[in-house]
Amino acid sequence: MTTPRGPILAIAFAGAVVLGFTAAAQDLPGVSATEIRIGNTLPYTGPAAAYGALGHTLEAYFEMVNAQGGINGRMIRFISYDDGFSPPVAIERVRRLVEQDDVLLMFQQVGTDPNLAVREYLNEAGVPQLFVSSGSPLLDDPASYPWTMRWNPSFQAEAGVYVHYIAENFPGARVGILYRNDEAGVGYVAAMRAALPAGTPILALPYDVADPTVDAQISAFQADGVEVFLDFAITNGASRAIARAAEIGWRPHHILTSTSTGADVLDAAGPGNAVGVVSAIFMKDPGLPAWAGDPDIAAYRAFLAEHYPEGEAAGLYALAAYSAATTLVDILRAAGDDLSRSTVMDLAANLDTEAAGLLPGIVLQTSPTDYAPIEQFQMARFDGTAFVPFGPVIPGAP
Amino acid sequence: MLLQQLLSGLTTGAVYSLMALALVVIHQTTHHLNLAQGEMATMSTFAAWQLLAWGFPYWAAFAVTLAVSYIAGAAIQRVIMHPLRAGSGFIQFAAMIGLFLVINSITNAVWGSIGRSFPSPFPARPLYEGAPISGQRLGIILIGLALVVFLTFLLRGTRLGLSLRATAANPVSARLAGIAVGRMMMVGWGLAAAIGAAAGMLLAPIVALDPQMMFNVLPFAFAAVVLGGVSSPLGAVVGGLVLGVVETLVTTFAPLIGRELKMSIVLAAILGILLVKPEGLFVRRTRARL
Repeated sequence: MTTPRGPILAIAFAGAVVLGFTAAAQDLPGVSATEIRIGNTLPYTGPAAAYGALGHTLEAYFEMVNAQGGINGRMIRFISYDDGFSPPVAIERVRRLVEQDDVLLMFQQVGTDPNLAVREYLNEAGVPQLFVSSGSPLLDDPASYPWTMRWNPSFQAEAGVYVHYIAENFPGARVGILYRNDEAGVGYVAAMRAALPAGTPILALPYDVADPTVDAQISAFQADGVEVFLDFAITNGASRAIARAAEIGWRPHHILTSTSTGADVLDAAGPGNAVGVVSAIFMKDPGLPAWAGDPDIAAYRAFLAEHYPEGEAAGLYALAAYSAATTLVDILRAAGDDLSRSTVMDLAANLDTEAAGLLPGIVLQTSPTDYAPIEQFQMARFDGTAFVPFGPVIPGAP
Repeated sequence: MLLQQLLSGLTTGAVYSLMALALVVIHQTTHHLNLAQGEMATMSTFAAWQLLAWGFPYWAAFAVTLAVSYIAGAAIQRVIMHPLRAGSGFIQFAAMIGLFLVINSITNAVWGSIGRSFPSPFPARPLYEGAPISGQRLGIILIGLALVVFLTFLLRGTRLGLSLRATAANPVSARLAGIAVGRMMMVGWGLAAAIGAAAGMLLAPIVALDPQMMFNVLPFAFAAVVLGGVSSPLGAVVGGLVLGVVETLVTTFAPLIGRELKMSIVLAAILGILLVKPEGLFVRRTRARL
């Protein structure tokens, strides 16, 4: 059935679309005269909820920036949704952020799997996926995904440091690897297998986020006679592994992934159980007395005290988010009024600077073909209260 | 090595056994399988953590938490489950899912999501140098067995236990026989909440205390209950221990198929047992008489 109203509506609609396009062409997406909108999703609930601390830190930091006058007169509006660490939920939330909330960029989304899930969409839409909170080498591919840039150093680079450390200190030792059964964990193991000398005896055991304990895995390592224990477990998995090894009196050379060197893991494990654990770190452990007089850490502590006191307990998660956020704010300041998505991405792809909270000597460096800002480490040993760096700053293997 | 792995499995299983016990108690006294049991236990454990943070000595905090949990469990039954008693099983099921979500959210909101350490009353060290079992796990197994003895005595050997079981088996006849059915159901929920609290406080040093603590343990506890038989406290404990042993052995000795599919294999084993003995290992077959 045709009514005269149909064509009129169609014309009106077409007019609206044309007008809409013109309006969009004049404004930059995600930016107005008074506001810069930044999107984020991360797990505030569910088994990975410990990472929620990153979101709270970012929110508090941007609040502080706004209170100090914002960025060239614009206030930051930080919109962060809970994705429960679930890739499908992350996709839905990111679409909402881009299409309805109209954000300039996605910032510090947490986790390998959720970030991989939204990467295709963000690159097609030309939305920067900046300083992703993951160490997966998969998320560092500027040729295919020019809008996606990681923050954390890659697992591969970190694994290279451990291979070197093992070769130097424990040549020929039996190696046990505990890893989380997801993309990141599998990536870690693949990197280790590729880098360890051929013929090294390796026992690699996965655990699942849903496993209440990792007792069975730790027992299997002990029974196998593992001497060097590469502990790539995260959050609760990591603390259970440390506590269980101490409980059964198993004392391997324990190497812990840098992701798990935060106060949350060590407190839950019982700090006494973790004495002697080593890791390749890139941030200043805020708990280390040696950093008490460091201006970086002092500024960080002052920020936490005033804007996010609960962040003390979150340890490295809070510091990592703070470090990335200071870098983003520098980039946005440098962009001035030219806050287009491509300008922001260009600036991010030409970094050569230090960042708050990183160990002295570690430099953020990127280029249009190198999207890995942090590629250096220093070995550190846990002394019961903090990770104490030893040896030189070392480049991670590519 | 086999012996060592067996013992290690037993100690893991001890974790599942305690929670399974709480499930059996609530089923034995109300015929509910309480989905919110794990979340109630987690919240109780956080309450204990709070008491400890306020400076209570360990055993005082333990006792106060048991008492508070008993009262809270009874109150939940009275305020939420009791008004729904006439509704269908689905309504009660939905109520328990709601309880699960609400309690989890409250715990998350009050105490936050970051893992915390919780002290153990037993030493988390091998009993002696090279011992295959730690004081902590031995303590858990002993407490589990003590609870079995206590519950078996309570349910089988006392008038209160008889009333509790009668209430669960047939509320109408129980009421006609003069049993205060409403009060019995409150007692059942209270007891289960207290046992759950004990389980939570003993597990927290092992799995680290966070709002998701029991989320991953509860499925194993359900499996242990089904394996042991839903009405047998001893069955729940043995079911949990068996589960732990099978899990450990699969991880150690089945490298090719086992590692990724560990839990599927464990659950398939349970399914196999149930196909042969559907009522569980520790429950006598009931016969229908005509």
